[in-house]
Amino acid sequence: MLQMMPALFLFLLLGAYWALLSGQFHNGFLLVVGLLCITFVVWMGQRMGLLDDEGVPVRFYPRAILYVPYLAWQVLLSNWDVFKRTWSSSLPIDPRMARIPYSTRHAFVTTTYANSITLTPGTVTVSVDDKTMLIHCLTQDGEDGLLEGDMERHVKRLEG
Amino acid sequence: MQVTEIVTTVFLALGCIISVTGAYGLLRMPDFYTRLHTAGKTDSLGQLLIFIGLVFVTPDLLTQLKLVMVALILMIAAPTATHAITKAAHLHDLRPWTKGDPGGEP
Repeated sequence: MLQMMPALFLFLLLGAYWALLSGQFHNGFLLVVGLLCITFVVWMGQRMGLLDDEGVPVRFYPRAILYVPYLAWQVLLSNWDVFKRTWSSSLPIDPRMARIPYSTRHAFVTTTYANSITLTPGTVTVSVDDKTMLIHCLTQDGEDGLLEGDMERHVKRLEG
Repeated sequence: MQVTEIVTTVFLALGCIISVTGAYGLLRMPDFYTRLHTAGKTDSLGQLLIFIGLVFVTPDLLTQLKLVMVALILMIAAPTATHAITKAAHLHDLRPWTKGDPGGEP
């Protein structure tokens, strides 16, 4: 057993998920079967080499909870912006492709950053290479906001 | 009328407005890429508001947690799908519409 900690965390996560979805705490047979299934999945994950820092990025989860309120606020702001533009009679959009440099190191953090960009309306991540992300922006403001790097600073707090 | 019902109604109404905006933008935007931006509104905020609204009228704690879980999973899955669709279009060399091109004005 090389990867003890990720295996344990995956076990706990799957257990919580199973309990949430089934809710069958009174039935002993189902509890045992659930336990067997979870053990089997963790064992398979171990054999397939999925229980590494990328497959079970547990050490980022505590800080990710702190990131959620900021992201929610950004989603609200950008929704309001696109909302106004959509219903405006002149359709004030100026779409463009932009290359945004990023400096996050870990795959989980980079994925969170790219997903956050897509989640906020007005900007969509098209592709990611080693140093830059190709972003499709609905307006010049969206591009400027990303170049300013406010969101990137918040995401980089995940790395500690 | 109970307070929870009022809260639910407000959340559901807001969610519907956001979703309708997403659909309207889908019809109104000039090209493929810009349409995805308004579709993203429904993905991120619309579904979240509707699910939060439903949590308040659900009596069962386990069902409430399941609703929150569905909302969270959609929050991760939806941008991933949007990114995959956009990347596919980009790999096929679909040129984005820019200001001044014909066919975009409402």
